[in-house]
Amino acid sequence: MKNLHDLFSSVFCCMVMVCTMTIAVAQEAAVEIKLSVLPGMQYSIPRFHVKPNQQVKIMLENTDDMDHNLLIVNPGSRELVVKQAAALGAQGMAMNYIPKSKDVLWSIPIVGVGKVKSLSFSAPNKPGVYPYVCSLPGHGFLMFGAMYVNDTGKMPALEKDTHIPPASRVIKNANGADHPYPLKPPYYYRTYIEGASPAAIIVRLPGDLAFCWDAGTCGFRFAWQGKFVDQQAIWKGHKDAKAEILGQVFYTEQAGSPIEIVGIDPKLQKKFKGYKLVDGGYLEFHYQIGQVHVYETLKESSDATGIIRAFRVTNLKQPLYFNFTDGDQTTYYYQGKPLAGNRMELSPDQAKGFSVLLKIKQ
Amino acid sequence: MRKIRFNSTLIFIGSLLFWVLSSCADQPTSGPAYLVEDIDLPEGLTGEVAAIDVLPDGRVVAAFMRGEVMVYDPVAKSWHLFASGLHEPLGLMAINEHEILVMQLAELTRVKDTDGDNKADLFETVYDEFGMTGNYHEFTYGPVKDGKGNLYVALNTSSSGGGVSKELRGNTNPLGKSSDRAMFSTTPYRGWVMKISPKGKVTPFASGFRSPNGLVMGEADQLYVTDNQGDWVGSSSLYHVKKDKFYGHPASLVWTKGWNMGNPFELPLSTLDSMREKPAVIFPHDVIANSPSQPVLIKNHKALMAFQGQYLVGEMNKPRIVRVMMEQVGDVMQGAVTPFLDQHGLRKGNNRLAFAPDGSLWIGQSDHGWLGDRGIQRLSFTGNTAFDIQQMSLLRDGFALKFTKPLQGKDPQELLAHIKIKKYRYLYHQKYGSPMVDVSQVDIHEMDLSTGNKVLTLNLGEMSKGFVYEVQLDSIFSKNSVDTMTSKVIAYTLKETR
Repeated sequence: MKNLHDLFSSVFCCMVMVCTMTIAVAQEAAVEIKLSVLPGMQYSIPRFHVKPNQQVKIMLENTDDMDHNLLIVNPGSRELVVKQAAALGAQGMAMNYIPKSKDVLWSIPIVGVGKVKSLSFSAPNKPGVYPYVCSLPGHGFLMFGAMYVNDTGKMPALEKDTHIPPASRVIKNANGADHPYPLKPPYYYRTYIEGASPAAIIVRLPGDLAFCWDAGTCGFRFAWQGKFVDQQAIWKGHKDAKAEILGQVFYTEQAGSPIEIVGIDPKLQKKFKGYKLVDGGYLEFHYQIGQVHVYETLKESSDATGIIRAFRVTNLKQPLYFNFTDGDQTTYYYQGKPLAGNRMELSPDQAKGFSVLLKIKQ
Repeated sequence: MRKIRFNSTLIFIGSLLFWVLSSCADQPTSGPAYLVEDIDLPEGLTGEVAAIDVLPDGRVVAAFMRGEVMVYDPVAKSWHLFASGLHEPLGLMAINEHEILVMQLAELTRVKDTDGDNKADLFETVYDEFGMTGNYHEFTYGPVKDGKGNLYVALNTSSSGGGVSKELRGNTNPLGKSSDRAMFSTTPYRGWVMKISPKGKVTPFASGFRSPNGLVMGEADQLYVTDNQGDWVGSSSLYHVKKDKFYGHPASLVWTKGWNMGNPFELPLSTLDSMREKPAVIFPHDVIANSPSQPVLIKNHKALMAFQGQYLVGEMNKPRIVRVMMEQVGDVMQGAVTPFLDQHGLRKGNNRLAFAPDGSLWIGQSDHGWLGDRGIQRLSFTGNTAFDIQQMSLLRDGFALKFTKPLQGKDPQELLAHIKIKKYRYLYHQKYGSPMVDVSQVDIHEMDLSTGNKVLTLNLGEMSKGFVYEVQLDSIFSKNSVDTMTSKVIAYTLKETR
């Protein structure tokens, strides 16, 4: 599975190439640069190329949740202009944070959230790297890019381009640690992931197994095999980012209520109570259905060809149904026997403590 | 009492006394009052501090954006992992070395070490009955505790800059979203402060918040909450939060019990304006703070006795911590804000603060999708008193500025020329932030210096409700004296007159 970093980089390189190609084809025609704003104060395009004297149209769509502007400034003057803008102090907003400076060549005033503004100009005659920057207070340290003006279209390698923010340079495939400790399964994250509520908990098990248990719905949601997840986009604070599953999903739960108590409406709101780390870090989830307490622990089977779901149920006076999904890649086993259909009834006594094996078909 | 009178700021009728404001030479306390020290983080840690607190034994508990909770021993200078896997744990209350409360995106959790191995093994859900859309901006803050043991947490609105997931948690109500772009509240209780009783009963406490990244409980159980500049927040603010009140951002109104007024964004501005409670203190944008974070109460602090009952508040965008002082005027709490510490080795991104039992202030920094820095710094106090404004109090016709040390006089006309006062307002509207409006200079009619040269009384004539009064003391000591003043500007939010 492709690392997300690499994916980002390729998408990004394509984006830059597309821009460059458009320009090459367009020749002396006006170049249109469509910029939007990524979370974490970044223009969507960190650099582009134009020829000297070429007509340029920049459209800035503010897709962020705060105001931004765009100033194109003389080569090497970005930090100075940012300082000049900061020095405007309380007058800044009224002036769109555009300082009166010989270094400011063109500017797009503040673009409100969700709005678009554009700017047309003739590129400088003099080749060079002309920074563009958002000069709102504080933004200029992070939010900038580079307009390369030259005849050849030459730009340094992206990862070595000091004219663009460090975050926009090619991200090294970090072999570095995600945490200040080695990750040894079982371990878990509470995170956003597709296929579950935003209150999802994802667990890494030994034996290249993983699953998602949902604290929002109080139940097991899906399981996968292979690599675990990539959370780089979430960790960078990207909007709409989710943990990306790096393995193959082999089971997706269709049953709304894996544990259904006879006589209690399965639609009754279950109450998530938390979890305990048991047996060296496995999660024992705890939730309540009415007065009944359900505890579920999921572990890898001894040969890692499946997941054992062990339940404890307390304060139970009625029989219960264990609801499951008859998946095409898996078979459920109870007391060594395969389960058919999608429901198993257990007496209050049987249900006090029982386990099922979710086995991947060979 | 020495008194100077002026007909206006331009004409001076006065004595030939020579005054200059400076820290009094006979005070033995010179030298720096504050020291900033960097704390080494463990290798491999992404030091975006989400929350920080200090245990009664002085060890520091810090939570990080990737979900780690780590404990630092400042004597041994060592870290150990207490818990991991939490979901953006932006709030933390250390109970004891075996138990902490953590506010993470999905819930408030009691995290316990039940077997005494210094690692958490039990995660009990205290409160999770609020909605989540999966929007990246659904941050959660708190808890803080009042004298009766009630906890308070705050829920961020969802960001118009991001989308929502296919699957949500909780009910939905599309009326909590504007047809224009604005932060929204389509699941309960985004934009609310919630109260949790010791028995676990939850009450929606107050609404109208946008991005309330900081709660603090005052000496007399006053709840204060900061909010960040943006739509419906003209400039970042500190609110005195009371039950059932509405603090200005319309989205959350849809979750008011019995709400029947439709989409709150479509209400006339004047209606919303009349419904809202205004800030107790406004942090003027680009002057004081652009993104204030967590406040902490200064209480029985040996080195900061002059500021007893006041608050320190972190600022994300600048290497700055600000100080807020409150007073009661009529029925309302209101007050002033001034920079407390600028630069001095302090980084940006001052997201979380906590006082240790030894009086030092632990500062957690973050830059998660916002301007800032990463890491932890400790601010310690040398015992020297900084020359600063101790208190700014409202009078019927002006202000009294009390200083931590006596002022010494030189030329009163010069002194006057170096005090500049202006007043302005901020607009209440959907647009992101507000410029200062109705800006005007304020003339000083009369000036008194009393109480051992420590209190400067400024007579400004009639006072205007709803305005921020910004007093600039900039360059006041530029001539013939070393400028030892810590803060050069103080802004008072005049909600109510005396």
